[in-house]
Amino acid sequence: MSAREGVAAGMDHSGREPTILQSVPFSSAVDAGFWHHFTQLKLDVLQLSEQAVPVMGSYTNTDTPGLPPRLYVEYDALERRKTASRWSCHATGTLINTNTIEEFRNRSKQDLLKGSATTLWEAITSGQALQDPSVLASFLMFTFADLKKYHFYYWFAFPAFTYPKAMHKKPPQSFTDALTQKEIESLLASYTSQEVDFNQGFFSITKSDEEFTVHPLRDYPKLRTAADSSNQEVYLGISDPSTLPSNPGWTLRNLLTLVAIRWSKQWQSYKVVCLRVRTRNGVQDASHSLVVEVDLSEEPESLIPSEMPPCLGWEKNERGKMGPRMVNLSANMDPTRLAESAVDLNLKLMRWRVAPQLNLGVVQQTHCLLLGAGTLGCAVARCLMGWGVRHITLVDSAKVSYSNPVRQNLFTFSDCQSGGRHKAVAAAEALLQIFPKMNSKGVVLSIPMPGHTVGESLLNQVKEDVSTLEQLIDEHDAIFLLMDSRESRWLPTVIGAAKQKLVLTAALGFDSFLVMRHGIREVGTEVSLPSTTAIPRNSIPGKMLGCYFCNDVVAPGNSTHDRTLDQQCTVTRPGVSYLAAGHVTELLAAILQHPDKGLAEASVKEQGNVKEGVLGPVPHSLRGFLGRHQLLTPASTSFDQCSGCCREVLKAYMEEGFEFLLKVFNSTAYLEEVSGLSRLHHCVDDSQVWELSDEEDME
Amino acid sequence: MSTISYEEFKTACLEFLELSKKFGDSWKLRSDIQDKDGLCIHKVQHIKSKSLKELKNKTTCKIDRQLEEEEEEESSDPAEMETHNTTHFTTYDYHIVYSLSHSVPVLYFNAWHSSGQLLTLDDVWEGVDVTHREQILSNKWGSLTQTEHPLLGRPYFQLHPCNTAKLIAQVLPQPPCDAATLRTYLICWLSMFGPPVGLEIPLCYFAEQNTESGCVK
Repeated sequence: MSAREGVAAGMDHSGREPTILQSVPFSSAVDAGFWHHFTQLKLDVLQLSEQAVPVMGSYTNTDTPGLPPRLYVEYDALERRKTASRWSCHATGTLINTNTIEEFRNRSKQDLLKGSATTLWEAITSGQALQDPSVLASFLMFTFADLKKYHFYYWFAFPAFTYPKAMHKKPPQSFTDALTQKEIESLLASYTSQEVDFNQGFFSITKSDEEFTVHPLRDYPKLRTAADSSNQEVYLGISDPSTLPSNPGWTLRNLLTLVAIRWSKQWQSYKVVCLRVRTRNGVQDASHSLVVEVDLSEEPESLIPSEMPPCLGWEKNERGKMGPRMVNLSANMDPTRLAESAVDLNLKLMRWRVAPQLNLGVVQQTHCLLLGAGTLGCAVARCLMGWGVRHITLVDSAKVSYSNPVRQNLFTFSDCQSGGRHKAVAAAEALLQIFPKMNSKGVVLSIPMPGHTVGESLLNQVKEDVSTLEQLIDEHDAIFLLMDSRESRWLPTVIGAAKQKLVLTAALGFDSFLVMRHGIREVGTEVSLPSTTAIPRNSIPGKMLGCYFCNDVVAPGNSTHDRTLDQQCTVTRPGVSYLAAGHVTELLAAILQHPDKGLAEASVKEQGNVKEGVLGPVPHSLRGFLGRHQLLTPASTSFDQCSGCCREVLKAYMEEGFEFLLKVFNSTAYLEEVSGLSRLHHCVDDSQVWELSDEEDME
Repeated sequence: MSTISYEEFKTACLEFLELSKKFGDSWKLRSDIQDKDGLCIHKVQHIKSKSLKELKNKTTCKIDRQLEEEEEEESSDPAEMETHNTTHFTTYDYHIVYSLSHSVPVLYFNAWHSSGQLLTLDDVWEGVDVTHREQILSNKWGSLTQTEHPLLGRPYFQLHPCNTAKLIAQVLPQPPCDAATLRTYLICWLSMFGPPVGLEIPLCYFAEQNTESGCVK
């Protein structure tokens, strides 16, 4: 010790007990973007390799008080090699990844830490650390990435040694107390000048008069020897990540280990500057930095260890326990979840802009059954998805043919190959391709129809088909009749009416369309139907609204006889299907937003005054005429002799079940008998009868 | 209406980065943009957390406890200072990106707790400070929402750019014409959109403007 220091020590001896210098451990801070890059690295490069990967960390000495000192791993930590910015200090890190959670759990944490500490020890003892002091701020990242759930487990260790025992007789002093303003400015000026190449984290400082100069760490012994015989003072310096008034950051520990190993034979007492800089309004201020006098004399020089001393440094988790941390990034990284939340957010935005009282949930939770997976079926399915509907079942017996993909927007050319895929199945799969969280199902089913006789050999199949259809209708909330023939709509109409389901029909003509909601009948023998002569003036209540067949005076028969090929399949103007599909979907939406739902009353007059829902009034039907670009919203009551929903038909179905249905399939005359239509025919004169059904052949 | 082209945006950003370096601020160019034409500058800020709400993450708790070693507890080290659970902080990562559809800069950001868990949209709305609460929350979905980052493709919070041009025009009636005025444009914009989401601009940035004249007179 120089005479000067001895005097100083003597004068400072205030009888205080020397205390151990306590450093503040680092808190790890991993950028959320880091895990994206790490996932990429694992998938592309690492795969199953457990080789250590270099990772770059940084810390800063520019914090505002109140924040814990952080070892920061940025999004590009795996790619960068050196810190770019001035106020950021480099920390060398190693990442070790395991491939299973068991390995992560079972790997010896002691061994891992020892491995990391050995590298550090070697750098210290060999002198490498003097050439590149940033190894003194090294860290270990131990990880396991569950790439199915996007759960990332990680555990940081900041290796340090139990040697040396660093004491201090006086508490650390802040710059405000220890230095003059001029001195602080001089130190800052030297620190921030680019002239001398020194490592930002660890350096030496000389002071002569009131001038401070920063030097590389390795120059310390030379500087101190010179200082002992002149009027200079020499300090060790660190860029201190801690902001506490009496405690330096973790990096000082390893510096002191280095100092003890290499220089404690010569000197046992050191003055250390823990430099902290705060920038306020572009002006640097270092007055909250610390100066501490460290005393290593409790470690006798003879006991400088030849072997690596015990090491420590695992970071505690958020609960203060010795354990790893886990971050769940599925909401940010799992593509399916990203799609789900994006769609959801979109709908919420729509709601906010359109109608804040919109009940999105009720639409999304409506299970929709689409009977027919053709032009209408595909288009309706897509529209429903736009509303966020998640459960869609499509039913169709046909296969995709070459003319389909251009009009039926869920199919592509490849669906036509090898005889063609089943439409219902192909459509359901297409929905999943569009949105992975869809609950879509395709059922290949042929719907039995009145007037299409059932041969002996087909009896069991038809019985099964009816049963399947009944079950499907049971399991869904909204039934869409989107088939291409009139008579195929009969059976689901009857079943839907009997089960009091919401049934919606869409039908296409060449340049016209019909979209309607079937009224929801009250069923049961005790119910007395109000007389249809008592037609309400302005509106028709939901339970009295007609169904698709209510305007017919003949039962649906086999319409496929004597028709040319192009009359059997629907040939319409292509835009019509999209118009109808859009309207029927929005009709559903309007129904669901109405307080009375399917029982909502319909206005008889155009623009009449009726009870409305959040999306306005709900018409009974929409008829569009593309030729004249016209849209009408007529409403009609149910027909007492309707072949699809009159009391007698429903009664016969509910009491006799399949027996009744089979008779109808085999003869439409029977249906006319049961519904009372045949009686109606007899009541009318033999004179020419105007057909009271729709003027156009609606398909 | 005060809009800028993409080239002008680039110039403004690069000028801004120079200032940031000068003042010891930490704005940087984002290096992981796939689209070579995309420019994004960003800044990370750490803020002391207001409460320990983030510890409520139940799923973490169950799994972590299994992994917690009982006596791996290193014998308490006298040279290590006890930190008493003071280690909670929230990280904010602010991005400045160009909006093609509005021809103005847009502010995106993400935020996560010290555990790494990202904040939700509700958390962010909750966190808007008192001064700006009414302004932002009266028009929640239109002002501060979550959407896909245009260059990174991940969910980020966004301050909607629809009113940017109008707002800036009220403060800077002259359209920017050179590097200095473009920089002013960007700083002006940032000073309006940054504070409601916790990003403050030190006064030194504004002081710089007065030392340079604007367009050639």
